[in-house]
Amino acid sequence: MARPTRHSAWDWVIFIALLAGVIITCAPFAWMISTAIKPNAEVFRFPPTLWVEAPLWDNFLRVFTVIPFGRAFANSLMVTGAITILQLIVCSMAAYAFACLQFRGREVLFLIYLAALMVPSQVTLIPNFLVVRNLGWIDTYQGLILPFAFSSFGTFLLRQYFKTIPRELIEASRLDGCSHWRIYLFIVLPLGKPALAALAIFAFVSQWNNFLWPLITTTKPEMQTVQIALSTLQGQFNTDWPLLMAGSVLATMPVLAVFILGNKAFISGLTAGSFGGK
Amino acid sequence: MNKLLLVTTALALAFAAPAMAETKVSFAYWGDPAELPPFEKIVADYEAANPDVKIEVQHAPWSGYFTRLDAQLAAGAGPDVFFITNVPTYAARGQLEPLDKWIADKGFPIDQFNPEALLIHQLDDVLYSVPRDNDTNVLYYNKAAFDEAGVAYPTADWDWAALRDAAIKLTVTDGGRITRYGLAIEKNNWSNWVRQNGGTTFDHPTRPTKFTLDEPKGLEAIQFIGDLINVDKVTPNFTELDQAGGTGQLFSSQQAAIVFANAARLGTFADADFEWAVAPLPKGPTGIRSNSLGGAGFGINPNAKDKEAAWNFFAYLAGEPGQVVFASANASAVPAQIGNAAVKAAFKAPFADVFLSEAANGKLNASFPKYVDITNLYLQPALDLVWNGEATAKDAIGGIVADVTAKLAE
Repeated sequence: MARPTRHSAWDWVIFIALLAGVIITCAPFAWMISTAIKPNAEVFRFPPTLWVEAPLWDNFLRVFTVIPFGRAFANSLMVTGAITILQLIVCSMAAYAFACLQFRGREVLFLIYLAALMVPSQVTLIPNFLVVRNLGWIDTYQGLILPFAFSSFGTFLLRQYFKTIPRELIEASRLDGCSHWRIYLFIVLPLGKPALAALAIFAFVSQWNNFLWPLITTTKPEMQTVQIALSTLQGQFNTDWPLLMAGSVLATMPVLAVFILGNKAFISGLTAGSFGGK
Repeated sequence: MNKLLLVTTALALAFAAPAMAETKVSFAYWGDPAELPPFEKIVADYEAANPDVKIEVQHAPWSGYFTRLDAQLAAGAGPDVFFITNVPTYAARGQLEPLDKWIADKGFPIDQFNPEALLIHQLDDVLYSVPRDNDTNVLYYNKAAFDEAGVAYPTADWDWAALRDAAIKLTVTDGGRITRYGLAIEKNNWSNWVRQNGGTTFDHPTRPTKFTLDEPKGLEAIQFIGDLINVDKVTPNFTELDQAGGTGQLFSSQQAAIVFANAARLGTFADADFEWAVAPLPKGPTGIRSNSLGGAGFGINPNAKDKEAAWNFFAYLAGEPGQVVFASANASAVPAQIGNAAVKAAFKAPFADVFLSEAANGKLNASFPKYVDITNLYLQPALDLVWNGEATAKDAIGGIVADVTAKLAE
């Protein structure tokens, strides 16, 4: 005989509170998706129609012809992908040095790196722009990618994680004649997988959504990223909401994909760690 | 010897040739996809007529245009010719080329523009940009709603009383909720109502010495708008209007029977599934007609590499050739150069006659450096009290006179 599951009143309170949270979080998504297929006149109708009477699926095609969406999407994938890979490489190398190497001034140098975290990006915007302009990198991929190849946040994140890797492991490898290069590649990086996955997610999401830098350093439509291209749909007087939302739905997909993929690696890495160690 | 000469000549040619072949002028503007074709046509036409010039186009969305322009200009770079608003601010920073000397030297027909419209493109009597269009408002009305309510369509003779009367009849309430407002107006247009009533906000729109909104004519106008919102309940308050997507959305979804808006709405409403038309703004109680004035303009970067080339393109863009293209575009605004017959003839937007006659009534809103502070600190909070029905115009505006006067005197 199956035992009937019993829920206390408290469980129900928690359940309803969580459900409310889910609804609040998902409502903008639902609105985005339903608006994407609405005719313009239905967008602000009251009471709002959640299920669209005559869905206009061709908004998803129209967004490719009204603005250069395909090109912008490819630009974004290229720029964000390159930045994510570069950050993983550069930050993990820097973090390895800060966590596993002994050298004079290491802590001071790390503090200076941390200080860079405190400088708001608005302050460095104009100097960065000047550098990129003087290099002749306006409207180029290197101008979009290289300023973000390094991240002090990423270095900090990885260093903290690498520090938790048992020192005995590294010392043992040293005794066995392992070079720093091999330790970094074959011991630290595999063990650091959860932190690397977390950094990849952070880097991808923040760069995919980056607006200010690509706005300032691109002037040609063919170099614009997806966020810039989408914002051209928002005019001074008029906004084509269905088209904007159709584009936004498409623009959300890569972030969603990276999150789902990265999240798996993130969690598997965590559980792997919990069984190892001893 | 001959060889050396040949080599030098070849070298000289190699360096000289690209410079002779192409002069580059960069040009920045904003616009949503519907607004872009006239810009693209002007650039293409200009390049076709001047094969030695290449116009490098920099387009940005309205929402990010000024962020990028500010960064570029702050870095001493930026486009050679650009689309611009808030001219005095940029002029004060030395980021706009003074135009008076160019205009005099080259004979640019500045007298074909409304002189009052030029005021906001000046700083200390020096002109820094030339306006592209007039932000003229008209009365858009939903014909079906008028038929349904049995109200006669608006005419040029309408005054405030006729407007209010119609708005009351056009408002539809269903179970305590208003499903259609008689009238929806935009938040920043109150000063035009003040003018229609024979009042003023300051004694001069660009060089004020005295705050005058607290005089009876001004207070009456503010109270009239407040009463439409709170007493007659035929106009949505501005918070509700924002949440509903603005006047354009309210009209498109038939939740407002009349809206006051500019020519940009012609495009928005073109595919509405009901019949609508356009009429002049109503006149004030004593018959005064007034409309808003001013629009964005074009300016030249004082750091432009080749100023002569920049001016030549600018004169084409801001003068008759460009104006004709803008005026004849689908999503067009009332052109700025209304003293030019060719430009006027090119403006064939629907209801063009209404827009042109209303553009002639254009008067300037207050526009001076301290106005932003005065609005944020005093004027807007006081007006919000009236719009929300929390105070009368007399109390709310009367309460800020001392502060505004002190700020003006600073």
